Amino acid sequence: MVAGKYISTLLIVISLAVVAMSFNIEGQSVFDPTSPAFFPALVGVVMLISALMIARRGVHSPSSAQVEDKAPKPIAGNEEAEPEKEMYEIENITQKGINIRLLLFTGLVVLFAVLMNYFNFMVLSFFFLFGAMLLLSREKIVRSLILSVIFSVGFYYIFVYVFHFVFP
Amino acid sequence: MLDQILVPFTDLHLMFLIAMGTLFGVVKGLLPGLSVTMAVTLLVSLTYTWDTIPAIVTMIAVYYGGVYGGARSSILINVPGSASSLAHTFDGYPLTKRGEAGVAIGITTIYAVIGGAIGLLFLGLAAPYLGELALGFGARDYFLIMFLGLLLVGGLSEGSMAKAIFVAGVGVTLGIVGMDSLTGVERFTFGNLELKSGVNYIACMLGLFGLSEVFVQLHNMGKIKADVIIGKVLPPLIYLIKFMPLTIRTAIIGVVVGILPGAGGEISSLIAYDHAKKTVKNPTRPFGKGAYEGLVAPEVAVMSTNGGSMIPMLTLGIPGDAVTAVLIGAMTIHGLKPGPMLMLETPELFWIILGSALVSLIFIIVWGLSAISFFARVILIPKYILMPIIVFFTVIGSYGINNSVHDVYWMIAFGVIGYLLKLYSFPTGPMVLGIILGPQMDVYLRRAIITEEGSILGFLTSLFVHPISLILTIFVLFTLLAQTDTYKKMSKQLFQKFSKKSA
Repeated sequence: MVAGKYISTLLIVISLAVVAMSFNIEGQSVFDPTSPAFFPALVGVVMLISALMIARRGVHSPSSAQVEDKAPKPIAGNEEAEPEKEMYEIENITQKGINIRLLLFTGLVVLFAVLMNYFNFMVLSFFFLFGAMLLLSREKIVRSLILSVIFSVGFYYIFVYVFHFVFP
Repeated sequence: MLDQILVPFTDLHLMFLIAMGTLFGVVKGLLPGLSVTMAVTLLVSLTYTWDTIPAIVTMIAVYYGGVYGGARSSILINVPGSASSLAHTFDGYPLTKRGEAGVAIGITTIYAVIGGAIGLLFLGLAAPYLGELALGFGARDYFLIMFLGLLLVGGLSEGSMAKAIFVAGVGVTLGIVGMDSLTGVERFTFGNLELKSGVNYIACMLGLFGLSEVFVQLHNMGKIKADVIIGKVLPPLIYLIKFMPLTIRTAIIGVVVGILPGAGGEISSLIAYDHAKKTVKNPTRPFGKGAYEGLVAPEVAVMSTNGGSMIPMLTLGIPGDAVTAVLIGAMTIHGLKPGPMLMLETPELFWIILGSALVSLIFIIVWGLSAISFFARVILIPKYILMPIIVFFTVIGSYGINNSVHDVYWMIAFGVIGYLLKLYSFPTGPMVLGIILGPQMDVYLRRAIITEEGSILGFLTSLFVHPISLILTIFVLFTLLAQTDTYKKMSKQLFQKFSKKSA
């Protein structure tokens, strides 16, 4: 609920920023409908109205959003169908664990992007794939290693010779 | 015309690309959590250096294959491969539990092709006429259609209208970053040289549809549990005749929904399923317990929606849904301008696109009926292998646009934004539509106002004076009105009153 309030405030701030930036477009008046500042200002106002409406209704917490995503929803009149069994094994992991995994994975992606200009692409992609597979599987080291080698070499040649990519 | 339709049938290189594109689409589509939009977006960046026709033809094949493939995981593991295959879970998975997965897949394959072909028939018949009609559209009409598209994509997709409008607003704002095409004035560039050319929407799409989906999948890395008995594949022939009226009705539903800007297969499949439930008196089994009709209706609707959504895309340059928004982007990258001028200047491309979609339908039969056990195994690929590979593709895809790491940074930023949006139940589709349509909306609005000598009042009056504008304005107002609480309350009361009377 607290996060929801922060989100609502953030949306209002973003909308106000768009309106303010429209006023700051050099040499243009937002009140002249033919000027390049008019449309962005108009969009900013529409965003502000939407943000206020969202704030009034409240923003759902992330947990409820995730639960909603998982199961297929029955449509009206189909509710009598027998409850379906869960097709995904539910992983034994805490919210903190998920957050750490997300952060580490994002860090790995950023690192991959940053190092692209400095390392051989095939080698770097091997390290990325191996690191990411290891992070997500935690144990299957040999399998991850073999797959990373196959994919990094295979993809490199596909991208170079089929898609005519020029790697850094 | 016929010569051009036959090009993909006779050119072996194109046929090979279509075959591979369809296969790639089917595989992508059947993997839960990976959308068709993501598959097509990846391909846009990968085929950047290709010639126009091979690139566009491959993307069309991926589009058709991906939309078809989505039903596979709905049937086999009760997890929709894409939003448009949610309705397939209602009767598809019960069939799998009965040991009739093969028949369910056979039905979806056959009716995907029939639905797709009907959609293409409508496209072939309607597009040339609509293209001619569109030549008479004014700037205000284009503005209204685009505005309607943004409203519809929000109103009909997940989440509230306010959230969708806000996200679309962010997209529009991002879209107008850079130099104004009418005056050359810089907007929201903060003096940054890179921002002068605007935000790269391919990187944005790869982040919003690719990386963010991977982040969402990271919440649960549990394995898929599946014990599937395929059984026989083809349904009895008599059903082809029996389901024909339902097929035609649901195909029309699909085409109509597809034509509406912003509405796609996820809407048409549910409407078609609901329609089948209401109109089929004696289904093969009760709906929800494995009725064949419960699979036929959404599959036909979803596939015919493809043809329908390509009508506004090719004739007006307005996306019917998120995938066609990406396709418009792809065509623009290859120097084409989807819209009335495309039909006028390069009509051959239109017919080649139509022909390639037809070839793709043929390959849907080939792949769909020949390698069922293989596809069942593809679904079971562990996420710890799949997710890094997808991220790898998104990184390469965004890098390949300009051979610049900056685009990769943009992609990562949009991936995080997309993840947060999904976490808080904000739709991501309107943002992409906003980025693509925003600059055009701005130009059309200002042109329309300039036509009215700079008067807003004159512009507003013109909306009600010109017949096409009037119809579009009524649509826009109705869409806005339909989202108000008063309208929802009133329609609920009316519905209750009507149901009591009929009871």
